[in-house]
Amino acid sequence: MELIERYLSEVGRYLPRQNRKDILGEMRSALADALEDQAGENPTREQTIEMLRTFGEPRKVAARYYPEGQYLIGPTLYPLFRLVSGIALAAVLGAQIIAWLVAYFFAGQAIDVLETSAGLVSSLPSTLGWVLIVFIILQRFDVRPDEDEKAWDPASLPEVEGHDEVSRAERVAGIIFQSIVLAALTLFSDRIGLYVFPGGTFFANPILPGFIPWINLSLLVAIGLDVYLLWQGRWSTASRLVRLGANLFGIVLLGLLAQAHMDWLQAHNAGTFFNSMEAFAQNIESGGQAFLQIFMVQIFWLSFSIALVVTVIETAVSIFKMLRKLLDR
Amino acid sequence: MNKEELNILKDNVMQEIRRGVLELAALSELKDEKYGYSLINSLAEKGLTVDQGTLYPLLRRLETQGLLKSEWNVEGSRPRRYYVLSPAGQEALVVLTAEWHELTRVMNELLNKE
Repeated sequence: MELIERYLSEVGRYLPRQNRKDILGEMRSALADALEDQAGENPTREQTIEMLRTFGEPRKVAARYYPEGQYLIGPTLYPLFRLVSGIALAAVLGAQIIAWLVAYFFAGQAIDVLETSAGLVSSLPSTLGWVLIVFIILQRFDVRPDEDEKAWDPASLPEVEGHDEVSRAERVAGIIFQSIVLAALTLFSDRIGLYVFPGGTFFANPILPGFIPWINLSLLVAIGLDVYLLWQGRWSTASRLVRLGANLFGIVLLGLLAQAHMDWLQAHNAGTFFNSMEAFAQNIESGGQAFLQIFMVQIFWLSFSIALVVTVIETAVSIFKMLRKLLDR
Repeated sequence: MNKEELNILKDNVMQEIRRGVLELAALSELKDEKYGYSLINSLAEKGLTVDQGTLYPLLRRLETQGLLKSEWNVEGSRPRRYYVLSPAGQEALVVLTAEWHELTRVMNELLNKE
């Protein structure tokens, strides 16, 4: 009998508190009945052990009293949990990347790889943890998404997303825009800069001309790829790789452009925001024209930096999509 | 598929089927009141072996659903919890029995068609 009590106590540890006493009472008499049936009035220790073995492992026996299963987040909430945690993690990661870029370009701080990865190691799990806590609470209160199942209409199902379809409008717009830039760079390479009206004063961009062949190359590749995609109508692994290569080339080029503009600004004592304000003030006082040139270079630098950030994000997204496609296979 | 795989498949499918019919089997035997162990025995006599660890939680679930009533009886050699069909349980048994006959008719037709 001592073994049976030990068994019951172990089962009780895993039972719902609410009915524990009652369930254990019933189990006690059931075990006694079974034992009496199998071994008569005076069972041996071995017979008791055998009977308990047939009855089952305490944890599993107790688990059957949770008919709906035991979980933190149930199957109805799980898809939403996955979506929300994915968005939250992407947001934290994205915010971190933007913070690096801002620190790097605007304050000139070097990126400390060790420190930032240590930051991510703590911020990503804690983000996931918070999302988890919210969902556990939702589960506890039995909140369900999609309560209006009756209103669901098959006709409102979204179109199947054609991952490989090429968007024609996007490609045409791309070709037109890139051609205009290409033509402007080729025909008017010496006239890119800032025009000041009235007076018609022109300040040439002092950095750009050295980069024009490379920019043109990058534009030509992009235009060529767009034309090819229009013709094919679908993305292929080859065209995706070419676009990835073009994007990486673009990232290097934009990075060098931004860096060269920043170097020029630093050489003119306008490397940071406050420095440039100071420089502006001095120039305006002296009525000098250098102020306008600094202003122009800063605008170019800002544009290239923004283009760089956009290209980095776009490339990261396309790499992510390619990896996911590979994994789906 | 070799013999071993076939046996595993058979066990899995039969386990699912038995799980599905267990509620109805229990309800059918509880027109007169029984305690858990006596229900297991009476089902076994009629050819349906039920795992004890499965049956007791099932009885509680049926009681929560209002299909069974239960009470402790301390008159025998040890206190036992007796279960019996509630009025709702009797009603459910009639409906489910009709459904069961229809299902077995269809299944027999499907399986005997050659």
